Amino acid sequence: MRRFALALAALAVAGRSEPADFPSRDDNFVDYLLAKAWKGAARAPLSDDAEFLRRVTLDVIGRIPTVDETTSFLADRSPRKRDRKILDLLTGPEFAPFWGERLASILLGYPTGYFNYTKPQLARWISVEIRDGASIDEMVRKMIGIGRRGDTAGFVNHYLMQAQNPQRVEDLVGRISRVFLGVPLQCAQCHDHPFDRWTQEDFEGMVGFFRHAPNLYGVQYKKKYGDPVFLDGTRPASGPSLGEFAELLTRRENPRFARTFVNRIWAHFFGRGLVEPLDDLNERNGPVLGGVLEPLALRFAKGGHRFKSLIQWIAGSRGYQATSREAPGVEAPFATARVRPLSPEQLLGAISAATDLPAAVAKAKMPRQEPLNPIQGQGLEFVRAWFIREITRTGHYDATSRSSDYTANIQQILRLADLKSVVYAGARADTGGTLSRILDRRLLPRDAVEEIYLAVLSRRPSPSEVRRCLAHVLDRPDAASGYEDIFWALLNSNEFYFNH
Amino acid sequence: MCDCTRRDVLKAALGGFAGLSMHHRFFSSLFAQDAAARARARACIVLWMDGGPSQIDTFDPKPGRETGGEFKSIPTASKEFEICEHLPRLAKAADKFSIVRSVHTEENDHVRGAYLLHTGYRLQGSIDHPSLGSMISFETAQNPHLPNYVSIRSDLAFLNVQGAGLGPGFLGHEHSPFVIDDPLKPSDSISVLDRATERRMGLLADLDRTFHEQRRSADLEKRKAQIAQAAGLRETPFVQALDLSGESASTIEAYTGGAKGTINYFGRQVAANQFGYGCLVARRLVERGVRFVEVNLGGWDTHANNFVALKPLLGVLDSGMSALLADLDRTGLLSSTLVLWMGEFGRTPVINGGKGRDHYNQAFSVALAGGTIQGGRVVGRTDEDGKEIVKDPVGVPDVFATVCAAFGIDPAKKHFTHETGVVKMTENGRPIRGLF
Repeated sequence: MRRFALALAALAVAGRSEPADFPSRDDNFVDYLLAKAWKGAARAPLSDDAEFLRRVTLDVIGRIPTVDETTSFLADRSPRKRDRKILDLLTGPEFAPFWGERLASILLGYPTGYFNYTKPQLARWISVEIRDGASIDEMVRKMIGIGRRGDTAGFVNHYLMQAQNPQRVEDLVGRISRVFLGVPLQCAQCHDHPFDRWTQEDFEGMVGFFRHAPNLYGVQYKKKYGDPVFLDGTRPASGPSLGEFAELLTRRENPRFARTFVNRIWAHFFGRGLVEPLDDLNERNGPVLGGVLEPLALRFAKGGHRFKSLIQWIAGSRGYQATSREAPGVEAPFATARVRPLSPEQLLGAISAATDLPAAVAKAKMPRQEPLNPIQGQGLEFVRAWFIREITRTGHYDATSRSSDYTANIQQILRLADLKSVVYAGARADTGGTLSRILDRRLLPRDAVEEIYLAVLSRRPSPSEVRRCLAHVLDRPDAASGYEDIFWALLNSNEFYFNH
Repeated sequence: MCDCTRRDVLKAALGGFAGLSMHHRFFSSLFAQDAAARARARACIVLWMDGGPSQIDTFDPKPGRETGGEFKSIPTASKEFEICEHLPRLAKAADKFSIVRSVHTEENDHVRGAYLLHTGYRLQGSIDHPSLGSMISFETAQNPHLPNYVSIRSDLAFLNVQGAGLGPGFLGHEHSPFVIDDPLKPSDSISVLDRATERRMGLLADLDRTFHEQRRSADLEKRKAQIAQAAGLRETPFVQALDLSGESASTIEAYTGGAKGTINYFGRQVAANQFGYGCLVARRLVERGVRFVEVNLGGWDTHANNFVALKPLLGVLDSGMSALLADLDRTGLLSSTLVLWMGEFGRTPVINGGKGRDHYNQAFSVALAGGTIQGGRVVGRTDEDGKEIVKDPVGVPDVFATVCAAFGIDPAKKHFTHETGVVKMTENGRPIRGLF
């Protein structure tokens, strides 16, 4: 059966130039690098179309595909449909908002406390930059160089606003070096880094650039400011300023910038960075697969730090498109797609798409919610903010440092099991969401099961799955509650909760 | 400055992975030989005074001084100390707890202070320290069917689990807190576990089977096991602990002091009887083997009208905490249950123009009871106005080391984390000797 499915998948992509064992640089640069690094080691077969579509939609725009998107992609016989799908996702309206939120989470973490109102602002600002096609280095210069530009939308402002008062310059410098340079420099605050060459002197040099920050933001620094010296030893041409700092941070001569960013994006798409943790790319901590990160980062920087190009290289690669199914003898890093939990934003996007949450919320009589300070808003906005809060309080999400291991506790299982929860409005039989629409069509039971599978798991059910579901429906006094159970079971399944 | 060599780090790494502990010299010499005898604590309840409680208006009164404010002090069952007049029940129970009046920190901000008092470390941005609850959960024998660390918080909007240091940090998700939002209806937190969910979970296990068979992933196994654990929760004592229906009206009256109305908690109104109920739930959880419970009482951020705000709040504290101590004592659990009263900092001795007190981290109080902690004692002293510590200053790591000692855990035990090399259980904390 599995062999048959694979054969079908191969048929579906027939004509797509299946890269040769050793792809050329021009075919796909990521595949070229991976093939060199794997040195002929076995790799998993290509994903089937449904597997690919769900994975790439989650990774590029943060939700699962709709039933229509799935069925039309599966029916599409054209040879380059995967490349076209990637391009559609990159140019569609959902790309920028998803990455605005994602990058804001990498920058700020998940502050759900009193100060979290700044995170949506930063996410919106980033999403506009991305929508308008800003390159990553340009965007970061705008974020950091705020002292010079008088801009109010960047990272420094937001970090300081969401962080605690009295804010310390050390924290800010530590955060920036972790996020953008992959250097946990703040450890050198109190001691020289045991694994690397960073010293307290390096740290003081970086802090030196922020001499004027206290005037701008009211931050505190207890020690005396030293001379500004960038981590690579460069002294600024015109004295300490955030603008100088941003230039030195993002210039091509500082390879750490592109390397750290590319590693983060790699981790997003492969479920694991080439180097882990993502904020500590030190000499002792080498990549799990050598020879990939540096050339890829170099090419990214040379090409002008173009975010969408990077995603195109990665998502378009045969490496990214490998199946997550275990294949005998495949052991090399990244040779099988990694199973990884959805981020809070992806989980919300997936539930929302599966249940048609917007429609359900619009139709449902939402009780007026007590404003969850500081979460404001009503209707869909409230539901979204509430859900992210619930998820991040029952799991440990650290977008800055770690990629995605499963980190939730048993309470998250209970929260997600609550079908009465407002986020599942569209998963109930009696609301205006996906399930009620399926039931309204009065389909044959097996067709209804297939529709539910397409809506939640973005694939068609196997014959044995259909049998199991039909038996369950027959067992219930009313069919609607049987379908509700199936919908619930799939929403809570590992197949749904993870990207794979 | 740390002069660790590479070899030290590797040694620590090996120690950490092998689950061995490395003894701090102080601990080995002073405590190791009789650690077993002292280590009688099996559970810990933290009464968390969110917002920063005024030490002068609770456990370090300054009668007759301008900084002493409007409240008087009253004698207690201990010859060693007096406390605020609005804590009469605790005054009678003073033989059961001791006060440390000389705690000081460098944090004057709510979240930073909460992080420090929850983890024993200052917020550094990079290292994600585990909370005390997670440490205890990690160190004590695991009961696989119970959440080992429960946090009873009436309001989490202000302080989230990670930001305020309530999380498991690098110890891993299984040591994160199970949060009960409403102690008046604690069963709500598991009410989803009904027949329908049981039925659906059975279906779920079947429908996920093929997916699991085809993939190899530790994460998939973890979550699968958690779903099974959740499904089985209904059969555990945890469920009984959350069912308050067997508690008599007089018990509830004792814990809540009949408190009515609401208290102002960072601008939100929270039912005044929540803390009493929380203490009751904490007792029931500890009775059934839960290792660590935190009960939250907000409303202490009294920048204005300190005395008006505190009067009802002190009543709430007085009944909840005294009923808890009395019950634990009556059932014999006090000798194995540590009770810790604290907040993120204290409040200024100087009363501001709005009759309020502001944040104060130079000298404030923490109270401890149970386990091997002696009752009726005072450690440390502040000057006559309460502005400065004049005897036996105590840092937060020392408070944490005291908890460790009560459990028989080496406060210098090292954990290895990738990000930072070595993180010790407490930052050079030393158990407070005057308490044992």
